[in-house]
Amino acid sequence: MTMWSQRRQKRRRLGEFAPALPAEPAFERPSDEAYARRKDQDPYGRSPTGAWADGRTPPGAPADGAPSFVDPGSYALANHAIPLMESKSLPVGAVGSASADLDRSPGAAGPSSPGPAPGGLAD
Amino acid sequence: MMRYAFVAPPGWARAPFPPPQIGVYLRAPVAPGPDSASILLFDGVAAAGTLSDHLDAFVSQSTEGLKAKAQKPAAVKSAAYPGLAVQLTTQVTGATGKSRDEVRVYVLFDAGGTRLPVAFVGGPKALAAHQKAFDALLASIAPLDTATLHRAWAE
Repeated sequence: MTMWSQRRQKRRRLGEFAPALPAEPAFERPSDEAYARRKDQDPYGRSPTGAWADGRTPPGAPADGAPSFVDPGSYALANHAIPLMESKSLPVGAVGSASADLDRSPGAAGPSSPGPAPGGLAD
Repeated sequence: MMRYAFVAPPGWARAPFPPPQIGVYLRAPVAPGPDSASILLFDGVAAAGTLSDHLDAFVSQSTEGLKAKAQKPAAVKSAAYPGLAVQLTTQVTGATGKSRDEVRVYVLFDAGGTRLPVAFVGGPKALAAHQKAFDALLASIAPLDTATLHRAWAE
């Protein structure tokens, strides 16, 4: 092996071991941009993944539906779970029970009777 | 599950439906007779077809096995929702075993994806006696303002 080839091999090994670094370390992104809010985000928008957690509610912000924000749980309940729980059948049995109940005195059920409704309204 | 606000006629007895049903039963403060009446406010149901078809289904299902004479459906309007109402007369067998005439009004309000069924059930003279109370109740139906409730709790 010649002297030149030995030097080349040594240089290659050193290059693998200690790659050349730039003089100054480069961050992934500048610090002032890292914490900047995206322009297209509405921090006060009603969205399950909105930036409501990052933003603070201004004093005059409208509070429709809740005192401060719509949390993901309430959003899912209102937009996913409740529509699924919605009844598709019409409650016709109760009409028949109310009809049968007309023969009874209205005093049978008090205004705030917590028990079965008069006539045992059953579906 | 649709929550909506209404104003019950003054003096009427009020009771919730037994669980798991959701609804409110209102009963006129009169003795059993031709003018005794009750109003049923049901939980919202998912919209199925047009409002007219849905109302037809409501009427036909709840008068199954009865001879009913229905009038033409008429438009009604609450504080917030448009709706359709149909009035019919039928004969039912009472608790004493005698048959008696009965007037029923079925109302279906259109609240977007949800429909709100309301029914008036009464004797032959009930509608004349309680028409104002029933109309006022229908007119008062509106979405429940939860923001007001939150404010009420906070204050």
